[in-house]
Amino acid sequence: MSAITLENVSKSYRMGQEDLPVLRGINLTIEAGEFAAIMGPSGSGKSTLLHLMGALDRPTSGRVVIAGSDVAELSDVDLSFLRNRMLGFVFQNFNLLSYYTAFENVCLPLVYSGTNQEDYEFAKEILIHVGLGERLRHKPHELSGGERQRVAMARALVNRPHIILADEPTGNLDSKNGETIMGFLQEINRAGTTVVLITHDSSVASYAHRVFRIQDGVFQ
Amino acid sequence: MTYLDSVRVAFLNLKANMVRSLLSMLGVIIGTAAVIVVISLVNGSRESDIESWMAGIKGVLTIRVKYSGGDVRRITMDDVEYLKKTPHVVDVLPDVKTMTDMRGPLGRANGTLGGVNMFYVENNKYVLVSGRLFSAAEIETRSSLCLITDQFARKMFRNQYPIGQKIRLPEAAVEVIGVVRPPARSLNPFLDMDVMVSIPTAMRFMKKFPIYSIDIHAGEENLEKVKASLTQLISLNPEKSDYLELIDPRDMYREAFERSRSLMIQMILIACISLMVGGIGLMNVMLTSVAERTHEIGLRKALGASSRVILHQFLIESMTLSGVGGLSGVFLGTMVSYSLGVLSHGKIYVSIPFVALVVSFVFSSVIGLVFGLFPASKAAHLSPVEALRYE
Repeated sequence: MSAITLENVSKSYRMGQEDLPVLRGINLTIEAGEFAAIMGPSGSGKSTLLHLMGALDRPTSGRVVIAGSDVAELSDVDLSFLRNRMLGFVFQNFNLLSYYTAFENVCLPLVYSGTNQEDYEFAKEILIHVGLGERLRHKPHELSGGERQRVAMARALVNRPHIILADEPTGNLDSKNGETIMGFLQEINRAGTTVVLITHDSSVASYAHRVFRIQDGVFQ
Repeated sequence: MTYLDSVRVAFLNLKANMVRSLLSMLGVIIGTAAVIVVISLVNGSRESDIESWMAGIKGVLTIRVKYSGGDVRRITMDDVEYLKKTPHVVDVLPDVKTMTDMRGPLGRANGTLGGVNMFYVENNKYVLVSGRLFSAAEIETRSSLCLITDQFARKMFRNQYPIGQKIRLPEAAVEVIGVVRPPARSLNPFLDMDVMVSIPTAMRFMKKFPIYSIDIHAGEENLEKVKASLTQLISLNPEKSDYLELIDPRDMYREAFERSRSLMIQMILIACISLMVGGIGLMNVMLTSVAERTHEIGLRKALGASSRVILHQFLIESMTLSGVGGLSGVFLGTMVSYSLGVLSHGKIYVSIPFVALVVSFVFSSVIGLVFGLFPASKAAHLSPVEALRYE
């Protein structure tokens, strides 16, 4: 079964009077368990593509099917459920909430899914696994960049998602921390989770099984 | 997202933006406090009015001269004597009272002189401080004796012992037999006087002053009988009914009570306007908060928060702000009310019904709900992508 299917997907933004096309007729299938990378320069439409795959946005035309559900047919509550349970996001700028501790940030998706004690134990386990067992009660500003991205990784994993969507996860990190993060992504993928990665760095893309190159809204 | 967590996030944000939160709550605090103070003052005056009116009007009827403009007739001493002899009437108290210049051993002082009957001291809750009260014989005759208030005693005699002293009036002199202390809050300010003499004595001094009103003490059990016979007396006598009217003070009391109720409602409405203004301030701050936290809202949506959950979160935040504001306002209003009572030495009577506290608190929370609706729905309808892009 495919994890994500895009059929003839186009997306354009309205800029004043004109429509600005960002994606034009994209066809893409990500198989379950796959590690895929989408490469392209800035402005190529790769982030928009990831937002569509993450059900954060709807296409102007075409069909987006995530884990068997057509995004166009889902209500707001269904979409939230999909993002909460099926998907895990890792962002370039970490996106941690500054007033929460590392542990609370990791538990944020649990807050929206209804939780039990086991989930909290699991959240703690992941943080220990990524080497932050001593940093549970630290606020983001007390953590280094690499540590913050590891917290974000733990947050993406806490609801045991089927698909991890990573948008330039190493973009704000030095090479050593970047390798650590990529190592974790590889490990997650080996455990069976589908990983879709966006990057403009070919050494990062080399971790993937398949690499798609995008430019001006079309695959090359 | 659990409500408890929303409340926790609300408090975290409250703490993170302490000054802003306080400023936004200030409107609600002042508004709620204003409502409480208004209620406590109006309600207090109502309650104390009830007390004093009830004490003053027990078994009392009033006959007064109708105001018709032009040549106004007055109540004569014959009228007084006649009323006194009406069956079941215990005593009458004509309103004979005047401001006059008085002289004592230490100098002159201005004061109110008036005639009183046997019931006056007791009915108005005066306390005898020193000396004695009038005897039954003294109060029926031109006795040239008087009672004075403690305040007037200090003014007239300073440190001298007042009992036995003479007060010289333009026409004659009266001797002080007792000093009385009025209650902290007068039961009937129109009846207050500094020097009290028997009615015949007062009439002697005040030949040129007309009597416009007379209280008839009938006793509670005979009130209706006396009322009926006096009504008949006045209406059967065309000459009297021309210029006199019988008044049951309980009717006036009911009227005043109605008036004070509509006054209270008006005052509360005005106070509510300030609470509304507080709500607008709150809305302003919530809009700022939504704008500042656009990125956070996008992230929460990406992590699985539905629009409804975001709506609830921001509604709970604004209700927390207004609720805490309302609670502080209730506290502040209560403090201000009681301080007014204490600082005025009981002259301002305050009374806060418990239900007013609850209603003000609930109302201020509702303000948070109403004025939080627009900012919260703005937050809920943010597109996650737009919000995540926002820095």
